[in-house]
Amino acid sequence: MTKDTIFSNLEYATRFLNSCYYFLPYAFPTTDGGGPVYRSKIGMDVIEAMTDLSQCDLGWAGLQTYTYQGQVSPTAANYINGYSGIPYGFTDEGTWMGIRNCFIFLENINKVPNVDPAYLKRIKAEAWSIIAIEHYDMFRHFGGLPWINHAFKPSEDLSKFPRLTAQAYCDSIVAVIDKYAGDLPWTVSPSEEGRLTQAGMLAIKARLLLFNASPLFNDAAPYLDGDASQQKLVWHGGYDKNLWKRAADAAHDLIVKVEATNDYHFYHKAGNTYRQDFQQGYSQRGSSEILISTRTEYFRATWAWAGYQFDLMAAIFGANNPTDDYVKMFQMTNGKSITDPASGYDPTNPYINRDPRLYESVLVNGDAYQGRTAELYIGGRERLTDGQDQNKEGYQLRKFINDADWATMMDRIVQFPLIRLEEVYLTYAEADNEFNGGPSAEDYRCINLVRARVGMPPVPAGLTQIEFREAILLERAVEFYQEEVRWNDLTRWKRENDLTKPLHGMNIYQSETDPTKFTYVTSLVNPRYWATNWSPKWYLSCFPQDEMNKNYGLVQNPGW
Amino acid sequence: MVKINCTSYNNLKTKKMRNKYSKKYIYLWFLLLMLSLPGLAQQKVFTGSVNDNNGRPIANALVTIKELSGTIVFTDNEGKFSITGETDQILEVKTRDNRYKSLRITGDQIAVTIGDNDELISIGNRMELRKGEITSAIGFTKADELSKSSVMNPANALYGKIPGLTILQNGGTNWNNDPTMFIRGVETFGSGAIVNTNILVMVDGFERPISSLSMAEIESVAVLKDAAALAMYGMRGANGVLLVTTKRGTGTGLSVDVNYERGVTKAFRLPNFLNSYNYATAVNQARLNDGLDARYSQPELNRFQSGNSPFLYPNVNWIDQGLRDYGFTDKFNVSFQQQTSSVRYYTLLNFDNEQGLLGPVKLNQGYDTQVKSHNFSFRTNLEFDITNTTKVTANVAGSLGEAQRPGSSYSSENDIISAIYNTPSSAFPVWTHNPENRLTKNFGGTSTWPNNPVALISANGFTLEGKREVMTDFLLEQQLDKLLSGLTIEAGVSFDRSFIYQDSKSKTVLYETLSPVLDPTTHDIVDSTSQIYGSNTALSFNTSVPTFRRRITLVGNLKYSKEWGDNELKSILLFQSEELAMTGQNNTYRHLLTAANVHYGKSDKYFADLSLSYSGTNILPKNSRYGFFPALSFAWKLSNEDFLKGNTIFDDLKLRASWGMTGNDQVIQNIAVSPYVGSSNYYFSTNNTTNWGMREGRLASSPLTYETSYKTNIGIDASLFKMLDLTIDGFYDKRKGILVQTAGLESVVLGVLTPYSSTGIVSNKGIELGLNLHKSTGDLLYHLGGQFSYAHNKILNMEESYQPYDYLKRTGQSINQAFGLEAIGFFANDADIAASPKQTFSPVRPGDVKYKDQNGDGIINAFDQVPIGHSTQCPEIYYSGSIGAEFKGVGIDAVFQGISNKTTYLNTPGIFWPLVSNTNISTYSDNAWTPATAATATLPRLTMSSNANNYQPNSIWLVDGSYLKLRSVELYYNLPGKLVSKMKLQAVMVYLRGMNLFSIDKIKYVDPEAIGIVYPTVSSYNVGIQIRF
Repeated sequence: MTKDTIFSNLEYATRFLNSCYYFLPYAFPTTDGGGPVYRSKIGMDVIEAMTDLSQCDLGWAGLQTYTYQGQVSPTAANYINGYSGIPYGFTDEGTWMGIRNCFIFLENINKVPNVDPAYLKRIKAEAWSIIAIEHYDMFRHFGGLPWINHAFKPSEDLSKFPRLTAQAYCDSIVAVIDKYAGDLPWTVSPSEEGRLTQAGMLAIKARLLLFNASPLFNDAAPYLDGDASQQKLVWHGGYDKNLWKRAADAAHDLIVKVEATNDYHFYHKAGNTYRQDFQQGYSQRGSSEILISTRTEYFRATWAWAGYQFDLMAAIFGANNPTDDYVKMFQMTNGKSITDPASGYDPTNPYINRDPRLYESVLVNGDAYQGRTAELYIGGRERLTDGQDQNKEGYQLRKFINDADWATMMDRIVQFPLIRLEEVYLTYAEADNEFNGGPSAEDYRCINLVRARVGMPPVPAGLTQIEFREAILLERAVEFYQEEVRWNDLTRWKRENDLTKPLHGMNIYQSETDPTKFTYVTSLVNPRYWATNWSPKWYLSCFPQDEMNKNYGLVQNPGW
Repeated sequence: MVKINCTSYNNLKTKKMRNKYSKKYIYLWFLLLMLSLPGLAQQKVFTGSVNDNNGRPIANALVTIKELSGTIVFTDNEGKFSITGETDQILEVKTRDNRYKSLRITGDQIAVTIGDNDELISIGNRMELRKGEITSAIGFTKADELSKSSVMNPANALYGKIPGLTILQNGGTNWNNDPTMFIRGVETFGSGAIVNTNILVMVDGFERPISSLSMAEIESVAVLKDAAALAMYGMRGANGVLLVTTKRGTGTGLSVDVNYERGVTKAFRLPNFLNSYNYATAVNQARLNDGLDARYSQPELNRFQSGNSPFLYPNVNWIDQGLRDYGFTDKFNVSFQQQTSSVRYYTLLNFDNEQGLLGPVKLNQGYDTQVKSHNFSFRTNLEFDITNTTKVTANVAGSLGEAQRPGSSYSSENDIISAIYNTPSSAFPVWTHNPENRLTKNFGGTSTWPNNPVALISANGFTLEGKREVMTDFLLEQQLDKLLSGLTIEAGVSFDRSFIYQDSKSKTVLYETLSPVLDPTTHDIVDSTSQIYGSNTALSFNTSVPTFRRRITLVGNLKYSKEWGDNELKSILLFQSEELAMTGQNNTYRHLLTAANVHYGKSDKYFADLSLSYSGTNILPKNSRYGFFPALSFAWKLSNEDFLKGNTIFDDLKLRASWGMTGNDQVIQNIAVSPYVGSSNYYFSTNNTTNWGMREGRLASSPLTYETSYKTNIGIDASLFKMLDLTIDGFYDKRKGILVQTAGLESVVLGVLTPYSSTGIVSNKGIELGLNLHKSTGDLLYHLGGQFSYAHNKILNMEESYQPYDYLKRTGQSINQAFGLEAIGFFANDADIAASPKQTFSPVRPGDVKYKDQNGDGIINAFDQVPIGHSTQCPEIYYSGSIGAEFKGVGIDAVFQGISNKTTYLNTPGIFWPLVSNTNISTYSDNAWTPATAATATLPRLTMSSNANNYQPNSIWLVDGSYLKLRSVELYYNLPGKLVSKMKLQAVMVYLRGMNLFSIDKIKYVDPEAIGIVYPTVSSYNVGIQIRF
């Protein structure tokens, strides 16, 4: 079939647009990583395992084999022996394919006869929006990049498309959103659910501007000196407080619009527990709090498809083990941190009376699981020996895979919530706090709304700017586990300490006399290469040497 | 039932009638013919003799008179014959080994001398020339050479037999170990999944795999090497052509040959893995080297050594458990052949049987799971002279074969070898006995090593693979002398079909891990725990047809030959159309070929050939699928010049030269347009709806063309001192139009798979030398032979991406040139590491490989790779030597064959790379670095990690892959003629034969030709008898 056939009728053209959607970012492994597989970020792994929240213990996965060993370099930035070694492979993610497909669509869609003008406007806006999302996704890993504005031809001179400055690149993306978001519907019907909406694109804009305002790029000094910093490809050249204002305004615009209608709201179903609301809110297609979700094939009843389409198998193999450090972040239901002596935390019975989101993010020992209780003690059914990769840190992933029950996973539809409404509230609160030098009442309202949805009490009043910032980052960690939020929170705030701190697992021993009694002993996770050999270069990904060698003037990111 | 009988009866009747009718027809023809001959009354009996160049009589030669079809006689043991004919007719003599001479009858006594130059050689495309008048570079070998090999696949009999033909052995079972074949090395590189170095194999003029044949039915094998021989193959000749000719019926009466052979096979080489004590010690050493605690305490090591706790501290030699010392083969064949005045036939029935090397195969009730194969094949080659101007050839051949291996259709025998090699001797016992319940006996296994080799072999069921193949061809040849003297027309068709079906009967078994519970201080065993996983299932069944192949060829040609004065002209115009269909999509291949050749000879001194072909393929797009390929060649037979007449050195001397073009169409299909393909579906809505996606495929590759090889060749054929044959060839080829990737040139921001471009260029040059010395003194006959081929290729263009340093460039190197880091020792200590350039592959420790910083930038990375050794694909030098002698019926023959200028990458985990990814450790690692052996170590330290630093391609693992192997040695005895005739037989030979007995090489631990984890290559010892009735 040729291009002319595709763009001779709307049915084929629509299929072409579907394939543009296909290249939207998706966080979970879709194969075991045999070679570049588009939309599979980091091979068998998830980017969460680059952070302090998860640890990859799967011996043959890319993180464990290469990345944790510090083997990432421009010459090893592609798939190494079939496994991705870096958070974002410039040549491997398929984002450029997505962008090209969108431009082919935009350059040819006018050839299709008899398209309703309003619909034409909408699908063009969808293609532009996908272009914007692909760029924003790369922005967070590379800084400014070449801005390609058409379906590129091999004969063209690429040196005419140098990397833009970080600010110009960000502005280009924002300009696309500003121009085309208005052509998208505010919300879509269940049968069109998953197609891009105005609300979704405005949320992306807020997230993008928040990243752009954060200290990684917006600081008095670059995070690391180098050509790319000097050319302002990864640094704005100084601190500009107003960038926070731009982010806060973008988020606030959306909040105002959302609250004026009832189309989007935090998910709640009558009769649900907090846990159920939280879980259904992120996982169910059509959930009222999801602004953009991206999809892959639902589970099929065959091993090859079902296993690797999602992180179920990866988790079971040990690629995504929650750390004890993450579990300790969850407050008690009284809103107090477990380190607070007044919190009522009992180290000998650590998993009771905690933020309900803990139990839906991490499977902890003794929680209800598969119609019984989870046995995460050594020798228990979830952790047969202390040496096995699966659940090696004493916890099992729960978010997205719930009971990890094969039978109920089959034929279940899945999605990745690219951005949820909760984040927009937290984005506003964070940006406004930074702009004003301290939290406003509206900032408190925003964070407390997110907490109230799961029954958590408000954060204490009278916090300083820094205390409030920490509260926001903590809230984002516990709310958005596995949603690709934490890695960028750590990079944009240059959280070297969180990336290099020792990480822990939990060894739970069952009492030989009383099976209901357990001893809890924390263990130390093997330190990752950068924990002992820190360099700020890790905040951004590197360009593969192959790509640099093509001599079109691509400037490598600092430190690589 | 009745009806069917009736029909067949009717058929029979009509057939009989037809026979009668045709006989009548023939008689009529004869009558007419005789009437038309004016000088009938002058017929008389001529006598004569047929001798070779050395004056030795040639027995059993066929003597005919061209004008008198149906008159045939054979020479007796003294080479004598008598035949009825008349003066001035043409006498034709053809020996059993296909030498041919024709001469005009002049006197009453006819003396015929037939030399080696009179041998008729098939030069491809239905052309045959006398050896002495050939102008192209063709190498060949014949049945008597090949039959000294005991092989199932005839390709494995060709090692070192023909100069310019490189055959590389592969591991695997006899059932599917096709060797890799190259002619004059390699001069193209594959793009993507395409292997475009395949040579073209023709059997009796039709394309067929040589593996479909049995050794017994092959008469000769020829290799076409230069453009003069290959241009006629158009777009399919560039990689060279292998011509196989099967046997035709010959001989006075019915002759029946029976051959039975029993063979014992033995793994050529098996690696030695460490016993459990040494393994555990090595693991401790590796962990110590990694800066970790020892895994095994001294009491545990003692338990491995003593063997007192065989279930908790086992010591299992998995090679002993999984493999037996010997396998067996049987070969039996019987052939019948005869030549009568109008019919020639050759019929062969052949049976091969192989029982493999696996050990525990009889643990199941009712079936064994040995790797084994049986193959029954047959051939009938028929030739009828329907009239004295009409000849029909009908050949039918085929096979019914069955192979079996343990496991499911998804596994292979190599998976079993992998389990045998890569399960450490300490991993688990073959069977566990649960101390609490002695009655249960489970397979041992652990989560790290879940594949118990014995379970894989004996308890996972088995897969049967059945292969059926039929090859038929039919040719009709009509002389058109009535139209134009010397004109012949021929038409033919072939139909081949084969398929493989698989029937898999597989099951799984339960495994048990026994782990000791140790006292933490004394390390005494206080208890043990057991963990069961997997389950015993019933046999499940799965049938599939993985391969199917059908090939149809139509061929027609017009031949014209003429002699006038001392001029000779032979010409052919040929048309051929073929279609190959196989399983899968886009798997039908069509080729069209129109070709013409004119051969001219003058005074038996000067010869010239002009070949032209116009060839088409459906693999290429419509506008570029045809190509034109000319070639021109000359030969000058100096030995027939007056100035060399009577010289005592050269019996024969010929110079050859050729230039021409030929093509290769084995390129990627369907890439000339950018397809918009269905893929990348998306999933809108809140349910399971699939929204089909379509997107742009790879960018169009245009212009797209076939590869063209420009070949130049010069050669000498000589025969000296009546005992030495010599052939020397030198060639220079240039291959253009090779498909290359342009991904290295295009940035990824393009956002689409980049096109291929037909702009790759490779040059290839070399020499070939063939030498054969044969002599007889009294009863002693002996011969000595040697062959040498050298081919060096060089990439001239491959659209290579930018390389920051010249030494990194692949352009200018050979195809698949090995690249790696140059190891300059091992790090002695941390100070040494700190003082050396930074190695970026993985953190280094003392004992790790230290590399040379080629670019002096203080960093060791991929930019420090340099070419090491030679190509890893094809050796540049391929040589062989043969030696043989016979005295009073007792003889010995041996063939050695070797290669040089090839680099082998020793990257097999477990054998060469110890302990990587939970693999094993072999004695190859005995000389690994330890602090104590730092001065003498040849290998880096042992380590438990994947250690990317040490396992880079480097000068430690890239080693000289050359070897010299004894391919075959045979001791035979021909029973004395008197004894044989007393038994009413014609000939009896008994023999002992060894195949692949040893190799001299630098790899030592495994077969240098099969270093990976594959079913082992074998040596074989055979005893056999050949009887001719």
